[in-house]
Amino acid sequence: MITALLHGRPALLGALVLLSLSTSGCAVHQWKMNELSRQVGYTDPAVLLQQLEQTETPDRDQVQRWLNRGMLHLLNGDLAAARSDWEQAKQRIESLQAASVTENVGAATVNETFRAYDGTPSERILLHTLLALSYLADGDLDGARVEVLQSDVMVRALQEGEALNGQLAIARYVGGLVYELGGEWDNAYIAYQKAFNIMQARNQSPPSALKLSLIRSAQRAGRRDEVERWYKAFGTPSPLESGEGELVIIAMQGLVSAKTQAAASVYAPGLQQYNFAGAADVPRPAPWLRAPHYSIARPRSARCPDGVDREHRSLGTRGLRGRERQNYGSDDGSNGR
Amino acid sequence: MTKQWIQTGVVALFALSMAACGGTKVQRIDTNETVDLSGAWNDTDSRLVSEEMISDALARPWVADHVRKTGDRPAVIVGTVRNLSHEHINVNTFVNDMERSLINSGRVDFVASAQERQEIRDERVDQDLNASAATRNEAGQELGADYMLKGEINTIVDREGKQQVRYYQVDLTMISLADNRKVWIGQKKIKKYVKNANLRF
Repeated sequence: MITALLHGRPALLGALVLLSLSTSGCAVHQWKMNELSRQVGYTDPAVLLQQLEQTETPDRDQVQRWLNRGMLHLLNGDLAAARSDWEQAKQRIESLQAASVTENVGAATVNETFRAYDGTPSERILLHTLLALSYLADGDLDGARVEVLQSDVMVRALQEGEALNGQLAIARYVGGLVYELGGEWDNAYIAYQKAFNIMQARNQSPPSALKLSLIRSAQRAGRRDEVERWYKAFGTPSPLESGEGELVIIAMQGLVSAKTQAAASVYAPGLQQYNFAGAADVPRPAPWLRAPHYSIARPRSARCPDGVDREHRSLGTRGLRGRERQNYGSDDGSNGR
Repeated sequence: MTKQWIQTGVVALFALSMAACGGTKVQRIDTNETVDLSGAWNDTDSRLVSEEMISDALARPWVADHVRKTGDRPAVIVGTVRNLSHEHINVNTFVNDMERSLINSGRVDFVASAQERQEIRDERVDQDLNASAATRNEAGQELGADYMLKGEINTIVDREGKQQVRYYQVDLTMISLADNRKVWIGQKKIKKYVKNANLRF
C-alpha cells in the first residue's frame, strides 16, 4: 500500500527518507549510549566522558545525555559538573511535562522514539536524591534541603495517578537525614516514616539504619506514643554513649539491571493473523558491578542493542520506554511515560 | 481516504520537523522590566524584597534609637540568611542590594562578614610583613558590629496537575549583639499562581 502511495510522488518519498534517517540517527545514538554504559566499571570515567562528548545527541534525548554525563562526572569525582548536568536535566524534564503536538504525531505515525525522553517517575525522584546528596557532599545543607522539598512536591504530583508511583524509600530516607542535620526533628521523623511506609507497602523489611532513625527522630520530636510504638515493633536500641556519634554511609551499589523486552503474540480474529500485543520488561542480571559506590542512570540505553527491542520500536509499540528496576527494591509502576 | 491521511500526516510531520530548526535569539531588556518565565524566584522578586525591606528598615525607630543612645551610626553585620524554600535562590543578590542601599543612606555602617573578614585579615598579616610602616594597617582596629542581620526564605508550594500556587515569605531580623534584642523584623510575602502549559510544539 505504501509503495503504491509513493509511486509518482518524489516529494513524499523524500520526506519519508528524511524521517527514516532521523529515526536511524536516534537508533545509532541509543546504541552508542548503551555501549558506553557497558564500559562503566571497567573503563576510566574520564575516558567514557570523552567518548560521550564525541557522541551526537538528538535534542529529544538531551535529558538522557545530561543524566548519564552527570553520573560519569560523579564517578570522575567532579561534583560541580555532575550537579550542573543534573540541574539542566531537571529543568528540561519540567518543561517536557506538557504534551508535544509534533512528538505525538511522530510517535503515532512513525514510532515512539519521536517522543522526547523525560525520565520515568522514579528516575525523576532519584534525580532529586542524587542532587541532594551532591549538595550534602559539598556541605550545602540548604541546597540539599531544596532538593528534598522539590522531591516532595514531585511525589505529591505523581501520587495523583497511583499511590506508589515513583516513590523511593531512599529519597525519603535522605530527606530525613537532611532534616535531621538541620535539627528539624519533626520533619525528619515524617520523612523516615514515609520511607518505612513505602518499604512496607512493597513488602520489604526496613534496614536497621531506618529503624534507629525512626526511634531517634520520634524521641527528639517529642512523639512519645510513636516511640513506644517503634519500641514494640523493633525493640529498644542501645543509646549512644556520651561523646559517641553516628556515621551514615550511603553506598551506591553497582548499576541498575538492564532490561530486555519480551513480546507476546495473540490471535486477532478480525485480522486473521497473529500480532504483537504487548511486551514485558525482564530484568537481566548486571554483570558490571565493579563500581560499588555509584549507580548510573541508564534510562533508555539498556534497550538499544537488543534485537527484540529494535523490533518493538520499529513497530511503534507504546509503553516500552525507559523503565528500569532500581536495585534498592523499588519501582514506579508506571508504563515509562 | 486512508492514503490521503497517511500522505497528509507524513508531509505535515516533515514540515513541522523542518520548522523546529531555528537559531538563538537574544534581546537586551531593561533590568527593571518584569519577565516571568517559569514562575520561579527571579530578579524581580529579589528587587521587590530588597526595596520593601530597605524602606521598612529605614522607617523604623531602631536607627534613631541607637544614634540617640551612642551618638554613632549603628554598625551592622550580615549573618546567615537561610534559603529554606523549594528553589535554589541566590540570597546574596537581595542582601547585597539591601547592604548597598542602607550604606548609601548614610545612616548605617556595615562591617565585613565572617567570610570577607578572613581575606582582609590575611591581607593585614601580609601588610605587616611587607608594607611600609607608614602605610601598614594594624591588627586589632576592626569596627565591631552592633547588630546582626539574620533571616530566612520560606515557601509553600501547592500543586494540582499543571497548576500551582507558590507562596514566598522572606523574614529578616536585626538582632542587637549587646543584649540579643530583636530591634527590627522585616517581612515580605510574594504569592504567585503558575499555570504550566498543557501543550507544547
